[in-house]
Amino acid sequence: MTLYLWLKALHAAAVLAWVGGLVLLGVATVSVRLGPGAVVLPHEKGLVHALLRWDRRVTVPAMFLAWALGLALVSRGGWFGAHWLSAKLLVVMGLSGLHGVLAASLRRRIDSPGEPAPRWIRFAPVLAVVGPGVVALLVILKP
Amino acid sequence: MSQESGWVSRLRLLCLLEAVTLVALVFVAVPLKHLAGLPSAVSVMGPVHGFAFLVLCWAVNHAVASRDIPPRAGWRLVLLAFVPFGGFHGWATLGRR
Repeated sequence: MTLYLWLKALHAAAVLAWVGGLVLLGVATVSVRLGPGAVVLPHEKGLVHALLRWDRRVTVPAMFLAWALGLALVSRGGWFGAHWLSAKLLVVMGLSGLHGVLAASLRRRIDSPGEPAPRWIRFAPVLAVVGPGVVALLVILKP
Repeated sequence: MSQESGWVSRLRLLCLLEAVTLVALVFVAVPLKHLAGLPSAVSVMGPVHGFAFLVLCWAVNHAVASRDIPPRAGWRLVLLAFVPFGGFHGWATLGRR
């Protein structure tokens, strides 16, 4: 098996772990419905801390690995300049940004429960599913 | 060390890393490609710098969303990352916080 195929397979595995964690974060952020006067129950706090621990230990390293392997694939495959790749990079940067915002927002909501979350955050789980879907279409169809 | 100062010191380190990789790309790898006919230097340093830039952007985004640094400072760090030696300025600026 060639090195390119190994890189591709490991990249796909890392992306799966990253997207799984991203969806988990999105659903958790929407589920922890907090607002003015809200109180966080101890079991909710424990669950969120476990999620954030998972994020730190699994999702973030998987995201970094997916980036590194993706860049290695682009370099070895000579894909720089392809339109589908530019579009994919935009979506990937958006998903990376979404991940950072969700992790930070979840931590902040637990630390200060009275603080209202931005309205768009309720669409986070949808974005976490649609974004990787668009990436899959771009990578496979290469329009 | 508080979590805030932890994020700021992480950002400083990433600014430094990004600055070093950009300088190596622009002032070492690119001249090697065009003047010495060694394109492999760019094909190695390009992805390395790309990775350092992505990690910096992610960390800035996280620090802004966590309110460890103000959005204005975050934008400034990202813009500085496009300029050779700009990351060193970001590193020094964060050190004064």
